[in-house]
Amino acid sequence: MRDRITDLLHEVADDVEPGDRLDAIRSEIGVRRPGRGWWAAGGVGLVAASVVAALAMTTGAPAPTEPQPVAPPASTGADAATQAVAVYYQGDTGLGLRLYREFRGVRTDDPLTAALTLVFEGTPADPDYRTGWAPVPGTFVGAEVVDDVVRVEIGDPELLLEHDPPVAQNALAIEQVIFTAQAALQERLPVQFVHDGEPVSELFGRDASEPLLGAPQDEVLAPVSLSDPSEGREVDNDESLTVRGTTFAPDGTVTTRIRRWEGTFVAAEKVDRVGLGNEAPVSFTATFTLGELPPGDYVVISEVTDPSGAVTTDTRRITIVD
Amino acid sequence: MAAPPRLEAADADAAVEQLYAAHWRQLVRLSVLLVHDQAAAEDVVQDAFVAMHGRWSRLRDPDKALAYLRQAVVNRSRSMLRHRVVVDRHARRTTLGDVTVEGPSVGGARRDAVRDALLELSERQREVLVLKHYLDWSEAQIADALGISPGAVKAHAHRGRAALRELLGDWWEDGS
Repeated sequence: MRDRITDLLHEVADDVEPGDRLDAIRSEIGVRRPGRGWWAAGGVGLVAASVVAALAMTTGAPAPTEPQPVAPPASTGADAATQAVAVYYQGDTGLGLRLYREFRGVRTDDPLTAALTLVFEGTPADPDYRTGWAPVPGTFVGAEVVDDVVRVEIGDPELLLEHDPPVAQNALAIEQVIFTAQAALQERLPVQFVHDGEPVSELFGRDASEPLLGAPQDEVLAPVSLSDPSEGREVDNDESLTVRGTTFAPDGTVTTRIRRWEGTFVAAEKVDRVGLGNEAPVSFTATFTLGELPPGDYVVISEVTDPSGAVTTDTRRITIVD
Repeated sequence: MAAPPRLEAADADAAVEQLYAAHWRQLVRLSVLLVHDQAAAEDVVQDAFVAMHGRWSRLRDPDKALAYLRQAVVNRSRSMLRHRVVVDRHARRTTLGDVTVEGPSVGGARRDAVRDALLELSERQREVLVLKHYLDWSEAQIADALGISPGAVKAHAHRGRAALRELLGDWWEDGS
């Protein structure tokens, strides 16, 4: 039974003759890297994984109150809107659940929205990470900067609270949003959650009526977090591999190993002494020549030890090729 | 409307091709009802297809993929509208009315009247009416998609319908 409104809406809609966008969609979907199933979660255009791998990430020595800085990626010479965004996900550490940072290649003119979409709806490339947000449609509506405050628009908070399973699994999920937004904007701006234009007063048990700056870094960030290589990267054993990351290095050192994926054989190990007294993350590197390593799957493991003896690692799977 | 072709391949690329062939037009039309701008609607649905492709390994099923596409189109239409309103505010441009589809068409006076009337509704009323009467979604589905309660859906539908009747006047009664 069609009612009046249905007829009227169809009259308007049926008059629309959409243009063809199939080619545009095909090119946005991009080229899949042969062999491995690299994929990025929906919401942003994919770039070829080789472009992401080519982006050189370096971090400078940050000031204590700044978000973890990232230097602009090396130019790819391609589309100007291709860029890497930092996304914060949750992972297990020796100190409990903490935030790890992952870089994702996107093609967008709105890195803030792209990065936050990956927090709310995305799946981490690293299988050890997870996001604290259940993919409930309508949770994340949009984000913009107004008067030096990042306004993150979400769905009705009361409904999100009632949802089963819970939309936000823990308080760290809120920190994911704050740190990711700040990284996208490269500025430590406060984040205001809003719904229907109004500030959200409470979010999962936490007062959100005022804009949030984020918890202290040494309380929420993982003690060690890798920037390079990205998960699943292929590396030629004629080239050297430089592992890069950031760390609090509680005992002043970071140990990086390359281990065969199957088994426990450690092929190479390096220690970077970054010094003590780090209230904010500092960068570390470990460079390996791979010529002696037979092709195959390996895992890069960077490890730090807390004074209490708790060990935290971050890992990336790589494939060494001839 | 003919049933969509059976999706054989589980591959994401093939899914995009087949879902595009079967549903692209209707999805753009859905978005046009919400954003009132054909080019913007095409952008919205294009993005939704790319998003669906990225999520295919979790969907793996043509019905789920279509549901995901519709949801994505609704969400993105809403953000697009808001983003545009914000941009317009900042640029001190004139009202949202400026972004309607091209002007009066021959024999389309009632269609134009309906388009204008839709624009006069609140965003929520428009969304609820379109999802209820164009997509034929249940109250529960609409509530889920928009992140509001079923009671709110009822209220928006009721008020929206009344507002539309009033705005359309004689056009409403003309049943031809």
